[in-house]
Amino acid sequence: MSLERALKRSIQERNKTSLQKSPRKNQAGPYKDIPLHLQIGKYGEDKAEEYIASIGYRIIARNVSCRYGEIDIIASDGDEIVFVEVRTRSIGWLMPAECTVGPEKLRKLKIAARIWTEGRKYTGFWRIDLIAITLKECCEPLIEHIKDITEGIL
Amino acid sequence: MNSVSGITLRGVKAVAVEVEVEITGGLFNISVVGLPDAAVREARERVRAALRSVGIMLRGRVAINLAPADVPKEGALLDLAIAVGIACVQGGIKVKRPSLFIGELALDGRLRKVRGAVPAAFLAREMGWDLYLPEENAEEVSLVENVSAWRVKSLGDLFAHLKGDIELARVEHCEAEYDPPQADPDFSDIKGQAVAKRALEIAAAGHHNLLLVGSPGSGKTLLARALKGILPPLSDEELMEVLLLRSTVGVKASAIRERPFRSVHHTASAVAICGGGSTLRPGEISLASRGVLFLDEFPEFTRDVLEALRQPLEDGQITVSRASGTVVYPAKVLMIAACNPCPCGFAGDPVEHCSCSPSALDRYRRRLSGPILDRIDLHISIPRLLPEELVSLEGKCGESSSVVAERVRTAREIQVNRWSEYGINSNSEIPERLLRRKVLLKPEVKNFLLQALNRVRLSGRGLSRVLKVSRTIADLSASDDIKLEHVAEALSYREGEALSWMKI
Repeated sequence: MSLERALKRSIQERNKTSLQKSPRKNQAGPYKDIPLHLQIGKYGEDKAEEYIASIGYRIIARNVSCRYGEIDIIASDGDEIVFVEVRTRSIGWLMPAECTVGPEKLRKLKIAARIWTEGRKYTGFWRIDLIAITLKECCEPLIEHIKDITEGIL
Repeated sequence: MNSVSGITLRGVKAVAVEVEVEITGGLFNISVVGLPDAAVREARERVRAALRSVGIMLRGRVAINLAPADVPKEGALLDLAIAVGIACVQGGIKVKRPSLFIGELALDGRLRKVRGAVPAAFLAREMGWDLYLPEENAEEVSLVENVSAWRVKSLGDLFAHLKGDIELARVEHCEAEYDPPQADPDFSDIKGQAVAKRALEIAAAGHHNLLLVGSPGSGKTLLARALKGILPPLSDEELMEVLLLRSTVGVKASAIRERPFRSVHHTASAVAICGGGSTLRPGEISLASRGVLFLDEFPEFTRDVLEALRQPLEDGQITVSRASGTVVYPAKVLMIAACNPCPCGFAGDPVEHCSCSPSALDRYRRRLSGPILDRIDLHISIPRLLPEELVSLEGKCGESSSVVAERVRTAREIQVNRWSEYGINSNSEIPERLLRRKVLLKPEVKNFLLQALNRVRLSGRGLSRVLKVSRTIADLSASDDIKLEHVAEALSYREGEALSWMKI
């Protein structure tokens, strides 16, 4: 299936889900009534989406979940679909965000991405990127973009 | 056939390996199929990094098929072919003529030298293909005639060349030159030992095997090394064979017609000498082909090694059979063996007394089996020099190596002229049927030989070896037929005193 048709279908799905969810969301506001660590995660994902859009990727979907886990952002980079895993770290963490994606997480990401592509009969190129966001006290958060994190693992 | 091919080595022959690449969508992944060994499978990491260095980013599922599928592929020399194959699919590179690509890739896209460039050149010539090879391999390939080969420094240069942006340098054919090897030691530096020097001359002229027996310090090793200075130059055909073997093992090949001289320590294993190993490599006996294999302390070699030498010494080639395949390597060596007459070294010495026990002597002598001694044409005993001879430091002793080398060269030319129609280069290779037909003996020589044979027991092989040596001696004196004195001299080397200690 072509990229265009895959995109169209996901946009339809997003509209469907947002219609169902939006009333409740609007009442609660984007960051209210959820625990702090989830708020940080959500903030990071929003930042990542902004960043991705700023470098010219087209956002296809957010928070697509399946039984193997959730894909934070699905975007398209030219003719290639990019599955983005966003990791956000607040101040005080010793371990950098990019180190928190281990082999098990990668395996799950790959399966989830494969389910998504196969569900849409998409046969083109795709890859998995990591966006690591480190929050700072005084200035804008640091955004690091690591492309194709499964590349070295053959 | 696809226009992108690499090679893999089977013995000393190159087998063309076609590289097919398919890239489909999906997550990035490279797989190599077609019986790759570890080095070929690791090529995907090198290829990926090298392609990245020239701006080709790989993505999707990359499937690389190396055909024919049932031939095991070995070595890093397929790197370049794989990289070009991928670039044809994804990088917009076009290979117009069928070409062979060999070379190991560095991560930054440079090309490293490989073993097997000369076999690849032969294959390219045979098929009429272009050959792209690393700069460092250009020298050896330049000796092969009629090859359309290009020197490649890096992957970037190659792609620019294939796109037509730049022109790579061709490998120009150059003739191998012969500058006479530096004789070290020179014959004139060796005192006395006239018999041994004569035997070395005969051995060099006719490519005959030689056994030197003598007490410690009598100069066996010195004499063997002096042989290097009198060997005749390699002919074109021989040079190609030597080049091919050297390239197969990755020994640096140079453009000189010097014969190989391989000196092997007695701890060598049978595989090291005869060839083999998991990836099938030629052994020392093949590397020394058309040259000298020097085995010092001959009886100290393990029995396996010595007995393994029997067949190659007779046939001039060695068939190595392993699970991974069977290959035939050339093994036309001039073997020089040196040994002491007994463990203490002084048996038969006029001054020193031998202190070996009879059982020790027996054991030592049993190490040299009859069959192996039967294959050595010239048995020479090296006597210890008298004190007066040793002290006479002034002056040169006898002819210099260059004089002897000239004689040897002439004798070898006579042999080549005589035998070239049969594909033989030296007297030692004369097959039995030609020996009976071509080596004519006069009636009186025949009589003498008959008498001699009644006295000394010679095997059938022993006799033909004596005849071959007589032919060489006759050639050295530029005589057309074998005369009585030639046969007598040849016989004396075989059944002389050198091996008297063998008989208890």
